[in-house]
Amino acid sequence: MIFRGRSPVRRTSSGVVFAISDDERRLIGHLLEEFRAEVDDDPDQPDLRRLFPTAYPDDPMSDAAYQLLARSGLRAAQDAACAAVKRTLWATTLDDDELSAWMTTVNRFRLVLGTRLDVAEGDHDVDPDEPDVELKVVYHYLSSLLSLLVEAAEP
Amino acid sequence: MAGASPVEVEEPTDATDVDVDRPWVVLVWNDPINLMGYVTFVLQKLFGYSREKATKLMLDVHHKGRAVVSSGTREQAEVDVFRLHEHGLWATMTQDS
Repeated sequence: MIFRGRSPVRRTSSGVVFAISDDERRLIGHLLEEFRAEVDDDPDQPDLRRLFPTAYPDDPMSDAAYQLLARSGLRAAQDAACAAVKRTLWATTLDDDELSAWMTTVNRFRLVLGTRLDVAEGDHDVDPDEPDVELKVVYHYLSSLLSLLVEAAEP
Repeated sequence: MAGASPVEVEEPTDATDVDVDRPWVVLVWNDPINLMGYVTFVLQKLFGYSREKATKLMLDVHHKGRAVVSSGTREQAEVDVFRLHEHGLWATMTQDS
């Protein structure tokens, strides 16, 4: 595109303007519900493995100890960020903490969807005939939203 | 994920292998999901790195498969790994050899 419109997420002197569409907000609301249900249901399922990574790949004992301590902390951080996104789902401005919660949450959705879709690097094409086309469209939408959020977060 | 599965643990062969003074390093690994701009932003935010330094580390991750993003005591490294995990990055720690 030669002419680029104003980003719906942009920093102004009075904070971050947050003007994504109602459809986008409904999609994020839906993903929040789905995400919470999946993590509550079975945090050990393979699609969620990127949310709880290995810290010590060469040392199973140390990693077990890390997982024991880190998992509850990671869960708490995920819950807090999800709650902030839910609270600001229809907000028209965001403060920096809320923007950060949106970024980490949108990225977690991408980690789960990307794992489920087994995406490869540079995987930007969506084939309308493939079975996971809806998930892929959502994944790519989340990637573009995250880019906008990161741009707005940069000083 | 390559590198994520536990491998055989080697027994220390001499005293230098358990040298507590050797620093721990925190590695961030390349992955096909995290966006380059997001990785750069997280490295700036968590470690206070300049945009230039964070971009260089991100490019190292992207092109070389991994980069050392911090180092220190085991405790400090574990805190850094946790904060990177909180932000969805694929980070591990190991004692520097």
